[in-house]
Amino acid sequence: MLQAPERESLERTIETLAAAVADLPRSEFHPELACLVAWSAAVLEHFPVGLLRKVAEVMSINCALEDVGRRQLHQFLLSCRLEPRLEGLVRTEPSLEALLTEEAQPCLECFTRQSRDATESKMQQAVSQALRQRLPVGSQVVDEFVDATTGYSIDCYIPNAPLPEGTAAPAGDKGVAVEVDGPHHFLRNSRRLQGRTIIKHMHLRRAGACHSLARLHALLPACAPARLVTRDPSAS
Amino acid sequence: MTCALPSAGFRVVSVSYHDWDRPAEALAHSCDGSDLESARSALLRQLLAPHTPLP
Repeated sequence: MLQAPERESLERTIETLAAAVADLPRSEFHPELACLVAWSAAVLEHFPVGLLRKVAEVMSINCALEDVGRRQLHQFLLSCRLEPRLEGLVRTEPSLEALLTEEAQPCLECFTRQSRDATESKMQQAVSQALRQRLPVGSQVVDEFVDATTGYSIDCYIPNAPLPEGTAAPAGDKGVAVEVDGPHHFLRNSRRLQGRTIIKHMHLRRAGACHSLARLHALLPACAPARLVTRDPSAS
Repeated sequence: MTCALPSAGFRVVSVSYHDWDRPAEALAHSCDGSDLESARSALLRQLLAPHTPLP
């Protein structure tokens, strides 16, 4: 977690960036940079309206992205779906709503492709093995479990009831997602998590816990209701 | 346009290498800190309780 002074400093940086790009011609605000900026705002959970509007405008003109940018955009759009404060904003900003409608699914697919290629670390294997040894007989531990809604690969998932390989867990499966955070998830010589891990934890917790908050899910017709699928070994 | 997003329903816990590899420091309050395996068992039990009972 960020300390308050660090957070304030980083939020000021985002605000400064927002002011700097506000008057920038859209042709000079490269979409890859727009994705990086949007991703940074999502990590910090700080969303200046002007910045979001600018990002959406840029993407509406040129959304030709490399996979890295597309994955960053996915995480930003996921925040738009899971962050209650953004819901009203998305509804009143046509460019942002259009971005969500048009790009959410292709970005999710790009993100999920990478998740399917995730490999297990030694620590992850050790935790998974320890879970198998200690959980009651009949329990299941699924490694690299891909969450179909967020696209994240959960390190170890303990479903509420055992699942056949390659099948989806029912929506509302009250299982446990275990994230294993080895050294490369932390800043050097620190107990502070890196941004990519912070945002993953945040998204998974919100996706797992949201029960009654109104969401923008209806804008995403191609997205199935929240569910989990086991990794299909035949998938590339 | 809004609608309720069906809950994924799962709970998220995280295992940090600080706790996994250095249980004597991190788990001194929950075990004797000298046995790696018992410390890791304590860590997992602590993380998964109360929803997933461990033997």
